[in-house]
Amino acid sequence: MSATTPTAAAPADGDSGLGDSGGIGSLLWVCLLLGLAAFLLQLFTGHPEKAWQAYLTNFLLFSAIAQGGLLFSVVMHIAKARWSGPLSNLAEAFSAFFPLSIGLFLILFIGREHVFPWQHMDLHGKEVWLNVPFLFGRDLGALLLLYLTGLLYLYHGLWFKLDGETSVDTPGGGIQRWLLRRWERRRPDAETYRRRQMLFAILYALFFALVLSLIGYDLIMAMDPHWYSTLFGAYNFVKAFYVGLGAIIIAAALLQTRSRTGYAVTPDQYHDIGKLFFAFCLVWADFFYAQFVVIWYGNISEETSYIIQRTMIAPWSFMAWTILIVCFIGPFLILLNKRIKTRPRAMLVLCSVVIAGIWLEHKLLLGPAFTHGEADAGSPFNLVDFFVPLTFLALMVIVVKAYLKQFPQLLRSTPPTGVVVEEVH
Amino acid sequence: MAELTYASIDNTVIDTLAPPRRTYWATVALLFAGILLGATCWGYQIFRGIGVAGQNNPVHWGTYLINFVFWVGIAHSGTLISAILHLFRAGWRNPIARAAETMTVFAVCTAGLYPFIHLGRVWLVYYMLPIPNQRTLWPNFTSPLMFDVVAISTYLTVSSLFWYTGMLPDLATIRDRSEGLRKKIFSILSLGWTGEYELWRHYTRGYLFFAALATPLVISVHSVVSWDFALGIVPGWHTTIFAPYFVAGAIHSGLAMVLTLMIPLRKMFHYEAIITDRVLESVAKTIIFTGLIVGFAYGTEVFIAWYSRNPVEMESFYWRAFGDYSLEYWIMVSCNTIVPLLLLFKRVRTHIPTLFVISLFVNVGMWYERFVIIIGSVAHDFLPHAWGLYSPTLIEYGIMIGSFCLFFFLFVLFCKHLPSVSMTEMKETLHEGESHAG
Repeated sequence: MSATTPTAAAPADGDSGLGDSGGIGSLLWVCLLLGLAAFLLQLFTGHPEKAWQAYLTNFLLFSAIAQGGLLFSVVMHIAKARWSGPLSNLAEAFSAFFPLSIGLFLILFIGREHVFPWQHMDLHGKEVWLNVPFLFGRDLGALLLLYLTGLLYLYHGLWFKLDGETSVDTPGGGIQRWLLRRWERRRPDAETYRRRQMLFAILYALFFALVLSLIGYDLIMAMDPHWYSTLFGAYNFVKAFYVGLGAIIIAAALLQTRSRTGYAVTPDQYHDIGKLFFAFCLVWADFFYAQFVVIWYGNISEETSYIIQRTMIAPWSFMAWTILIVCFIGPFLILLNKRIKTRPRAMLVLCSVVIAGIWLEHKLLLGPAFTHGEADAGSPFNLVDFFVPLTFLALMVIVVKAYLKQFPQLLRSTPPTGVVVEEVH
Repeated sequence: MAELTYASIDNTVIDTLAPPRRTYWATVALLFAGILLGATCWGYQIFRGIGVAGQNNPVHWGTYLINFVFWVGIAHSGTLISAILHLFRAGWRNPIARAAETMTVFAVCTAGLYPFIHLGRVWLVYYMLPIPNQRTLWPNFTSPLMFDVVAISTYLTVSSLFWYTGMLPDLATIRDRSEGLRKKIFSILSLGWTGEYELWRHYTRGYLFFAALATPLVISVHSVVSWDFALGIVPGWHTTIFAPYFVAGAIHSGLAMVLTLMIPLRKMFHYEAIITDRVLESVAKTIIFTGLIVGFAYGTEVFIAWYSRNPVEMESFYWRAFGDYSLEYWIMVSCNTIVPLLLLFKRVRTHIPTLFVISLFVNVGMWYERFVIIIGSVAHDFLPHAWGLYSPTLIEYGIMIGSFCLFFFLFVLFCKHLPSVSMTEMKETLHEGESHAG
């Protein structure tokens, strides 16, 4: 093991290092518009349902990334973890997607005719729960509650991070200045803020489990309204944390490889979050298997039909195997290796593949319900399936960057300049 | 409170091994009498047949299965504390890890007795073992009960080895401070431990690997126990949430039992400087977490039964809450999810007697959870004409008392004859300069 100085150089004051000099900003806007154009084209030329189904898949995935991302910071705070400083700061940036997520959910209402296959089915009494106004009302309320709690947690946490190190004149965004002015006018009591931050952290974790379960039941499981699995909600929130961790690792690796940001994560920190990612890879697979084995062994036709459609009938069966390999078998075998977990570039690739796998998993869970179980002779994909994610990805990157530009010193404050970063061999 | 040093840790722990007083032996004798009572009841059952127990149509799984699952559950938090929290580097688990691991080993032993007791013709137990299959009859490898035999025996093996390996340096410490027969015994038990660098290196690596192996094992074992029920198609049993719900429930009950054992132990052995109030507080906080998971599972089951609109499922859960066993159901809900919420208040979780009482409530609640699941589901399944109730007989109560006495008997013997706190891990905590109170 040898010691080296940090690889990341601190940027000049006032610069977050996130500037768009390399044309990344333009590329993001191109992606955003390309996906939007594909979506609109699909919407107005023939098959609007395919456009809305692609929209729903990506709404679920990217909202889960944002929700799971903030959960990392929350869990670290509740557990009083001391290792996760720069990663927690970065995780909090994903909360910038929350307002967008609400907006995107509201837009989904426009496509309601196309995303709820149960609307014209006989639901045998389930109409009480499965009706569009109630579904949108409760899910919107639940998402608002979750996001509000998350933002309140952030608000109280930011005071501890900005207090003392930052003044109104310190470079940063408008939100930072507004917050600092507000706190200057009326200085908060540290103890009260500490208590409130912990309270909102606990509430966020609690609501995360409840709200993501509800979203899992309403927007994924209920697409096949006669099938149910009690673990499905928990499976959904565990999956959200899994992709959230993956997104944090990707963001950290990207920022670190761009030396201008001054962002540095030590190999030990990569190793620790890598272990957590590995653990949730196992939990995700365990929650899948816990459902699968009970249904397979019970062999009740109203339960098995859901599994058979998705794991035994082409083309979905190929997709199911791909997901199992890229989201569990592959990461499991690779992440047994300690060194891989400390390598940002390797982890960047692995986490991207896992998130792509989970995107595919959403497609697998929803797809057969939308095609009403008919084995499609052709590919289960349309062009719009590949373009819409670009829009969501671009939106996510834009808002996360915007957050980090608002609070540039959060990227630089930990670890302090001059810290010795160990290189693991 | 005096500052901890290496010497004070050794002295405090080794002092607990001083010759016990008469009250200790009286306790041991009383517990042994309880074991004899249980053994007598079991003997009577073997002599008269399994019919002396209360299991009959439609409830064929009574207290024997309840107690089996209860004790396996208790066993799980030992591994949580010793293995999972070790991997998490949670310093507060160090003072209680040894006692929790010991609890695991004894609880698995106690649990392991119940399938034997339930067999009726216990002399045919070898049918369950995966021995060469000349009779072409047994074992049935596709039966979840067979999975159980494999899972529990593996768990017992690994948890015993983990426990014993972790104890080696401490056994050597006692050997070095003993004389006469005791020195000879501890010389054998410590397997020639010299404390050399290489030994420590192997020991720490071995302990870490054990922890890494025990962690998936603990999850798989209770998942398999849950599948004894969930793989069947009985309403109330056949539900996908069972595996993680059982694992969380097991840890919930085990943590409560840790408090039930640790609080008196701490008082009797003057462990206050080692098992600090904040250690107990950390256990209490973990109980809040596991209680919430268990509560989430209760709520989910009821919601999905309602959502399914499946009349059998709906009736099953309605009957649980408002039927013949509604008292047991509400004991379960309140003791496992509502009472632990009191621990959210710092004043409650730092008041040791209250903490002790809450731990007892959780123990009771978790026993009733198994009652509600095991009895309630088969007593009221698909066919109304096949519904029926169950109540344990005196023989079953006798065997149950015997099993509780056996567990406490083994634990009480352990406390005075082997180090109940890991001196090694406490010294590591001091060396690392971290607060062991979390």
